[in-house]
Amino acid sequence: MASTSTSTLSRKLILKSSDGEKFEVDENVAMQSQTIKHMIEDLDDINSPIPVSIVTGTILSKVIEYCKKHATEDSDSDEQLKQWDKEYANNMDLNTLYYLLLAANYMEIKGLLELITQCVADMIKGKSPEEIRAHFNIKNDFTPQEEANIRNENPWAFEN
Amino acid sequence: MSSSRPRHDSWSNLPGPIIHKISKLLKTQDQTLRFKRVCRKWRKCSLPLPVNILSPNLPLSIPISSSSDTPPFHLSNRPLVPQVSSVYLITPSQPSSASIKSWMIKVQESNPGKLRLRHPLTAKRVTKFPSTLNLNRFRVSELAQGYNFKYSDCVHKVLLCSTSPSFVEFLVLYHKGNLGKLTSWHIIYLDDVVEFKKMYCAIDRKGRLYRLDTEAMTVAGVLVTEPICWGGRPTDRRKRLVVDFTSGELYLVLRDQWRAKNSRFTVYKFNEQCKRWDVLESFGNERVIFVGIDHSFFAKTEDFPGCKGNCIVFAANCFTQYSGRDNPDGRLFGYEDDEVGVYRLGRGDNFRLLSSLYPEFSKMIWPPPTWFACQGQGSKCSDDDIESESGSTSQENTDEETSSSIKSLSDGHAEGMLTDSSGESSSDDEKDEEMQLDSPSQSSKADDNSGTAESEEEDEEEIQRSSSSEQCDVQTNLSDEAMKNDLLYVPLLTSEYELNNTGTSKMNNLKNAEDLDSSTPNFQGQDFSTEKVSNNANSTHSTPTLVPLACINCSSTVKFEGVDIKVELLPTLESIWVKHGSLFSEATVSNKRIRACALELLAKLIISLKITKGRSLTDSQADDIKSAMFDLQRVGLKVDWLTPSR
Repeated sequence: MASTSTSTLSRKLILKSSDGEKFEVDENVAMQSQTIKHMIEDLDDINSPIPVSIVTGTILSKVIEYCKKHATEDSDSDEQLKQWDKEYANNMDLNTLYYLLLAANYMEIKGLLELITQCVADMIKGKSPEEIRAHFNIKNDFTPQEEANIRNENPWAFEN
Repeated sequence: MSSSRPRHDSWSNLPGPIIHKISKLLKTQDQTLRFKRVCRKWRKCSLPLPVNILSPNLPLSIPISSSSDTPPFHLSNRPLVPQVSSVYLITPSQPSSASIKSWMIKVQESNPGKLRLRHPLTAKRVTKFPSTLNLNRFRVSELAQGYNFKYSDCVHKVLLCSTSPSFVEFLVLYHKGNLGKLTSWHIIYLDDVVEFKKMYCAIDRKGRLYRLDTEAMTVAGVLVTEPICWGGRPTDRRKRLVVDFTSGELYLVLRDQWRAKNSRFTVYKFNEQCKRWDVLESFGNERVIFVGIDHSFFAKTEDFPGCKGNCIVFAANCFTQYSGRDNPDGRLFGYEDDEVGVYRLGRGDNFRLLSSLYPEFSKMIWPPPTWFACQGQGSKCSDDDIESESGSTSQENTDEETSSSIKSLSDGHAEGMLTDSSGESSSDDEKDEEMQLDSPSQSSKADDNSGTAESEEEDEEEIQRSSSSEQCDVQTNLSDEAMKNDLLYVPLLTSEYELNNTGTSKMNNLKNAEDLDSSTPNFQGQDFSTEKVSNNANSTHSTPTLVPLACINCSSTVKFEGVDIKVELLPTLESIWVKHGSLFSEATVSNKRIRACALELLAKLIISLKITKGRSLTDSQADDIKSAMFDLQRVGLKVDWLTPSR
């Protein structure tokens, strides 16, 4: 169970993961997710658990960790926050990153989505297509003919 | 951690919008290309290939509307053209082929989608090359990327410090060590500036290190207060900062001696904790420091056969003397401008030529390998070589280029460069143009070469000493008052230039170049023209070139949409406004000067279109217009109505 802050002003919400794990979070933490924000607006009973259907408990706990850090204003400078983001992303294995990416996309958490996509883009940079495939365990699904065409596209063009 | 296992191909099945988002973060064409080659879904969902090869935002063309708003490092009425260049290590994918070896090259993108090849350190142009290079056969790794301006002079360093994607801003280190931006500039005396750990850091002549606030253009903090040298003599050399991005460390390279024989280097490492520079006996055999005209960077020794590491590889004139002259380098390098020097740290020996110490390594830098040069399809020489490259030491660099092209014309080249006779004839023309432009510096160069150079140098020093002592005072006072004095810059600049005019012939030289510029109107048309390119000259795009309009000049301005524009362009802009409403949107850059430039450029386009309706265009004119349109769209001006509907 996630810990709660002592603030009395903020309402509590309960998020329920796809595998049934429940998390109690401050409203301002959860509201960073546009998806949840919209769900709350349609919700009659604020105390009933909000289902986050495609996100497992393990991933949801990481999402909440991110949202909590970004919900507390003024405590950190921008630079410290960036540093925290960097460490947060660096501590994830590839599997977790994948599911975080899906979760951030589904839950519409802009900052988290940006952080993870940047992290993935950084992994891609400087790698050949073969290396990218190997890194992300992706199968080459081009036909040999397509492959040959692709190989000859867009060379460097020089000018005087 | 127990997240469930993804299916093996899950990354390829990411939702399309996420793939799109990731592909948007890839900055270069090369990266996007590789991304698109991974699998079908990634190919389908990623961004279309950008036209620009090296950078999404550059090159740009920023028109200079009047002399009053010309940045001080841009002594011409041509547009300011920030461009990007990268140093690459090109390695064959199949190392088995013995004839094809690794090669270092600098590529520069002056026109979107077209690369120019240059010596990785001296920036000398490669004159014989194939029209394309299919990167598929090679592993291409970027060693460094840097920026410069196409037609600006006396610029030492350009850093991109854009704060938003729609607005491009630069930090420019120019002339005697002044640092400025496009929109505001200040007089401070700095040797080098780099981006290090998301900070902009600069050193002054004494080696003190500052953290800069690039928004306010002030010193935000002092990182090293203890000077490492006196740094006051005109014969002292500009120090260079080098960042090792792998280890996240900042280094300073100091070249001590100005006398020919015993040029020595000292390398310092920035000690963040103790806030000082630590002198290094060695920075490790696994690394090499490269110092070139536009870039300074670390590379791995293992990539360079025969090299033992812990050495500095540098081109002549990379550590320029404050006096602006560099006779000793001429003597050291024997006036071979494609020669590169090497200094091994901690061995107590002197500078050597790379070709004599590490011949194999040297071949990786210059000349271009035969497999590459042999693909050359005749060396048609360039049409716009009148440009004076910046981001480099100065006019001297152009000299070097000129003299080198003359040299290689006369004696050919080891690797069979420039053997093509058609190439010779066309480059003769080019040479003539260059000679004309550069004649003042040519003659000064000749002086340097002569035996009496020594005494002249001493005289020059005397003159320099007086002016530079003044400068040192200013420099020591990197005080807040001086820094905060925003509004001083225009008058200060004028006096600054006059001051230096008395000291060196270089400024006269520049003035001449500028005069020539304005008195020879046909130069103006060559900004973006690529005469030989014939593709894409779509007749529906037919709008005349901007050339005749460059002559439209009027000093009075009026307000239009909140910005100052030339009064004669007002009717045109108003009629556009009536038809299409405001041309600004949220996407438009916010800077008023750039907005004004963009509006004026657009108005000129429209006027010229009206004047010459029905006239057919040359390819270069069409290219001109295309690039102008492209840039207008890039600064966020709404010009969709101008492009033909399909």
